[in-house]
Amino acid sequence: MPTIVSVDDSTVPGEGSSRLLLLVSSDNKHIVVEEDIMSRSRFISKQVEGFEATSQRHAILLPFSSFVLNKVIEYCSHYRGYYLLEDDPDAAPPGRSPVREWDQEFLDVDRNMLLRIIKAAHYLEIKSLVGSCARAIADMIRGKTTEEMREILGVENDFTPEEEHSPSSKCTG
Amino acid sequence: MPFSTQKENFLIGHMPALPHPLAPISRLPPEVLAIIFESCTWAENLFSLRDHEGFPPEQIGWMKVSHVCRRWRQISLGHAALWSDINNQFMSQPLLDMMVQRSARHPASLSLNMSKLDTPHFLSLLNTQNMLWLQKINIYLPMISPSAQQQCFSQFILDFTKESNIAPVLESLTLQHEPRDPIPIRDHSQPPPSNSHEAHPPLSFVSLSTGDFECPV
Repeated sequence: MPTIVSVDDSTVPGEGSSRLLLLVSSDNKHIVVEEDIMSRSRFISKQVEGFEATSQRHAILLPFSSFVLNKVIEYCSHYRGYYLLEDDPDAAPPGRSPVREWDQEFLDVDRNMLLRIIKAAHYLEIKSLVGSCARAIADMIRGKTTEEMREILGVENDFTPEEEHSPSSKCTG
Repeated sequence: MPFSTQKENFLIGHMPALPHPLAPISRLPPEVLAIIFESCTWAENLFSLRDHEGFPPEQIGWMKVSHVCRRWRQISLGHAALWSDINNQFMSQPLLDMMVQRSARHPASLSLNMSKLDTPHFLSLLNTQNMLWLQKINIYLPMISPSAQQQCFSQFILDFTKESNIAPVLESLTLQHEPRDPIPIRDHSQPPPSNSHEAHPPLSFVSLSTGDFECPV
């Protein structure tokens, strides 16, 4: 569950035509961002609706680092005002469309960073970013053997030798 | 340097490369892994089997994710959508049956080339239970098919036009038949079938292609 703390008016600039949100990362970095930018996140949108009901100013504490949060904000800033089909609540599950050219460059990061971004995007309910990350990860393991997949993504093979060679797993994929 | 320190330094030096329960991939929620696996089907779909004829199925395409570790296997086998694009063009019979079993009532797409199926297997795949969750059906009957296959194909069409709601979620039906003899699609002893839209409400696409179908008015 997200933790919400009250903040004073000096921390969050006053409401104007473009309201500002205070996001607090797990490494306690305070990041002020325009609400419009983060409206792609259904999680943030729901939080903001909650704020309006209480008419209080709040900061939103997020369980990932400022480095990851800044990447997500960069993504949301780039697509600010754009309609992305994948973010439609009625859209098909994410990850089944090609990665956009800008997203390819944006996600040209190391494996661990990519996994942290997809986890953050899932938490923030940004389906388009989840989908792009999923496709990027799928591309990393495309055409690879199971052993290569383990090496690429740092997964431990915890099957027993008997399980690995059992007919039920061998012949049925 | 004491052996224990050497070992510690070695382990620290190799830590980033070692798989670890706390590695980022291990901390992804199951639903996120399922999305990644679905992306794998998109990136490396069943048609990639064409390039791997003779390879064991577990080494082909996205199915490999179920062989990486126990957690991946549990998540992939429990995620029915992953197994819902069923196509016998490049798949063995056991693999086909496994796909049907694992798609487990998730809306599925079934593409069958009848020249690669025997009649009992065809009938078992299109039994009334399976028809309940089929969203797309594509059946191809080549000219070289034996008459038993042709009769089977004909019977399927007949049953489909006669009975209501046998396929409640079916949205698309494509039947391809290479012409040899016309295939009757109506039983003359029975009253005309009801309007297909009324009988199969979700059905919005029907294609009968390249064949001769005997369909008296």
